[in-house]
Amino acid sequence: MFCKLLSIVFMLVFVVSSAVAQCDTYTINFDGYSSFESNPDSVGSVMEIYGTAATSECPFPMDSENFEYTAVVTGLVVESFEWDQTNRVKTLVFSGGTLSIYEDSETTADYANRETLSDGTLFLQSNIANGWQMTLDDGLDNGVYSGFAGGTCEFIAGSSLSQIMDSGLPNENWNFNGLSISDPSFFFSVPDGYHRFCDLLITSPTDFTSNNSVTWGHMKTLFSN
Amino acid sequence: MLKFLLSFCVVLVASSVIAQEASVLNITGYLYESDNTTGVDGFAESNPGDILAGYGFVTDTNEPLEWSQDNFEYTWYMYDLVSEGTQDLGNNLIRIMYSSGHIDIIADRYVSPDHSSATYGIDPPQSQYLDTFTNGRIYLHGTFSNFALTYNTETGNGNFEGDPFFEVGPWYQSMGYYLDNPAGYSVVGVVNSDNIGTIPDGFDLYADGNVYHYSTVPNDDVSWGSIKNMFH
Repeated sequence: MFCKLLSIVFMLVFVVSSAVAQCDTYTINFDGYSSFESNPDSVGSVMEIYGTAATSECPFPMDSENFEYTAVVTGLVVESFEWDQTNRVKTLVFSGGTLSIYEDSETTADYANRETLSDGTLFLQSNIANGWQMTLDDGLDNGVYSGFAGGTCEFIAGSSLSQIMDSGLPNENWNFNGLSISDPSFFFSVPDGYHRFCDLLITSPTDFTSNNSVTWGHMKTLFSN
Repeated sequence: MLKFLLSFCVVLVASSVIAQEASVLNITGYLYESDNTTGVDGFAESNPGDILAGYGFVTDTNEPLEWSQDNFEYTWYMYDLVSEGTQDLGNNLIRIMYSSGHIDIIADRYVSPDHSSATYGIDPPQSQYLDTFTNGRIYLHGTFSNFALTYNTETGNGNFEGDPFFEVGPWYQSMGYYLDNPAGYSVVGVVNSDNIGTIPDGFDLYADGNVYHYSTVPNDDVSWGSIKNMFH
């Protein structure tokens, strides 16, 4: 009796997990540029990021042949700024902020005209959790600060929002990473009106483990003996 | 192949006059430091003398470079970077400076008899898996003059930067090829130990970076006095 009960409980748990889609990697990546509305790297300053999405793997398949995907981060407020000039490290901590990803077939993104990056259908939108932290350093003492950023975001809207739930993923605690953030240097410049290059990568929650889907027939076979 | 090489070399020469900025290669892969026993962290504790290494794929090149993913598998191997120890920068940040070290960019022709598809394996880094990344012809061989890695021990994010002196691989040298500006490169990227995919056993860090090329050597600011002294 106990074994039967245990089997039923096990089956129920397994059935619930079987609804989850199968993806090993959940990522959205976009390259772009950041700018401050006013004094860069100062408390109270508001940062924005504009970029074009490079890749998205499941569960958000992007139709890159017919659409252009752009990303816009607005409202990131600098809560604190520290510049350790001895060790050549800048640390910025932000609050607020919204990430919006658009799907558009009408206009080509033009960094000189920011509206071209924020038009189209809202594909996904998320709130960025307070405490998003950017670290920039000049490790080789060549005068160019580059680094990384990390924090989390929660998806709240967009035409693909349902795909998150359909795949069994939570909406919150997605990793919102800044990769290869850099001041302009002799390697690359940034368009007029922007301050830094930004490569952003969004990945699914760290502790998420993807599951395999199974048929009822397979389930019954498991317990047939 | 010859056409591709020719394009590469010509482009590098040409770029010295037409462009001052370029990311010539994008690299992704994994890094590991010293103790690679499964379950033992070789990083973030970095003691003087520890060795940083890693390997992975060249995932992209940017114009004006040409490449042929249909015919070649492109990989990279970074090795022999000797730790000078960990510097505590505060706020959970550490910086590790490395001396010496090399990076090879390798092109492995798919139809080559000794070609084997690069795979990280199930318990890398071991020689049989490393070999799948290093077989082929060394396309570029770089020797680092400096290398710095900054890392947040709380978030698992970090970045690295190193300046290599590049030369073309032995076979290409034997064919008479050379780089126009071998010192005009930098390897810049980020590392992550936590939330960007699954790091294979034996590795410590995911790495994603670029090899940049600049055509002109950066200038140093000097005073008129120092210039006059040069001609005394």
